[in-house]
Amino acid sequence: MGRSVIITTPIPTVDEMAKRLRIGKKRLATIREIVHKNSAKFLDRNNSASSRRKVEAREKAAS
Amino acid sequence: MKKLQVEPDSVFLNIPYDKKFTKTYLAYLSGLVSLGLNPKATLAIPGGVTRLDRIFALIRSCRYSLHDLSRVELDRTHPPTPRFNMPLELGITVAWAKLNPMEHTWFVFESQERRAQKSISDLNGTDCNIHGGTEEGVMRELCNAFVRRKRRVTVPEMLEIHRELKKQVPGLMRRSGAASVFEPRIFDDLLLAVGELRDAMLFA
Repeated sequence: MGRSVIITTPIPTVDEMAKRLRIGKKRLATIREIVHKNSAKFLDRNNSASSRRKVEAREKAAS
Repeated sequence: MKKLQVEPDSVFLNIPYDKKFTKTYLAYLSGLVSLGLNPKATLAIPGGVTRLDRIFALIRSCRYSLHDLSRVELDRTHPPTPRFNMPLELGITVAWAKLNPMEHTWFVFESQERRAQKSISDLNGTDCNIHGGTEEGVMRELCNAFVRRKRRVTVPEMLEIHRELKKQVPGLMRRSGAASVFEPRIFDDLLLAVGELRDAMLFA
């Protein structure tokens, strides 16, 4: 079979994934709690990097 | 045969479920979810006469399938027996894709170059994705197989997500009471944990 395919479907958010998997809000919240407890540094780093990029983009658009 | 709804981002994962394959299994989950795909496994399908029917239904409902033949080998328990589940499910998939070429695309993953062509010579002419048995190799080959034009995650990003997923495993296993990552009750939890990490990287 072919060696590669182009994926055009949108990337679902974790909330959309949970809905599709029929996972309730409570269970998703528990999983989130575990992830946030174990990967606080990773999440902080990515959230702050993302916020920085957004600020930079806003500043660039304003100038 | 009843027509099934094909999920356009679903990937049927045909892999061995054993302890030695744990890191590769988690790498597949991390990689596929990072790419925005939806892995499906036979973990939740019980044994018995209807098992094969349900596996076939699962294959038919997936747009893609990934068949890892890196552990088609003799097991240690007596009598030594080769593991034929993966080749069997690959065979079913190949037939399904031949009959429905617009509805299914399959990929063969292996750890060693040319071994799949040796063990299944009918695969000669098929390009296998060789991951070399490493987590990085799995990510690289997933990126080679599934190409995104927009919001493309890189192999280092996927590996970072994967490293973070491994930190979640003990907590998720405790929460679900699972004794192994291959239990059906923890499968969805692992997918959602990757989703949460990926969202932080892509959408935060």
